[in-house]
Amino acid sequence: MKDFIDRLSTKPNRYKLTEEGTGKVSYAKVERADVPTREGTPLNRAAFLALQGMEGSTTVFNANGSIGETSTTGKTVTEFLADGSIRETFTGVSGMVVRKTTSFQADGSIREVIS
Amino acid sequence: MFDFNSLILDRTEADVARGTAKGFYNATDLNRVEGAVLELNNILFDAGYPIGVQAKTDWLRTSLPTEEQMIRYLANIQLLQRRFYKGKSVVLPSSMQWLGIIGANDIEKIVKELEEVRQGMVANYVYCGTFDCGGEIV
Repeated sequence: MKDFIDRLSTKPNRYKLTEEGTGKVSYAKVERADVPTREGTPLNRAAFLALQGMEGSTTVFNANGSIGETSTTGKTVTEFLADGSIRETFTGVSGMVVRKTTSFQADGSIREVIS
Repeated sequence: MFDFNSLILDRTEADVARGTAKGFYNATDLNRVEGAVLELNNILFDAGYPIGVQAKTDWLRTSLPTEEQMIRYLANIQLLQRRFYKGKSVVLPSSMQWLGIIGANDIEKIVKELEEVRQGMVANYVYCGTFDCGGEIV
């Protein structure tokens, strides 16, 4: 585990500018002004801890044999298919879906496909 | 959503002498502070800081706070300090017994500072897609 902690600044987004040559120093507040249609996921403590599995979730074992895990970031459904492969489907709170299918090959190797 | 601007930071001796609302510490003060603490607890949980306060936000004029409840009241703020941020400028009163105007102000100053620091933290967040990592956008 790596403990990621957020920067706590008294002057957020403040940068020091030093003129080349003169060495004159000034300070400026720099913020993105790109008018995003989607802000993006913050890369913060919560995100990095979740990547390491430190995220609260509820797991249910469904009657059809699948497993559902629900967390604050979305829901993962794991299905065990008839051909022996495993299909994991993650649906984020944004509604976006990503799927990983793991299949066991005849030569003993494992194939994982993201779709 | 709790309004952190409603926190009272400027009680004076004159408030006590004149008997104004700010000159007394009662259920509205308890509810305000506990409401702020609960809000911070919930927001910080989502940010990756599980604090685990136990707050009571339904104090009535007729309520009689027990010593245990007042220990919990201050312990909630200590929890926020330990698990998120502890400033150096304001010291939390050690007890609610004989709480004066300075102590009452300090409790709310600490809560206000915690929220300001949290807001600064969020303002500093970097978002996916806003910087390069090894030549590719993250």
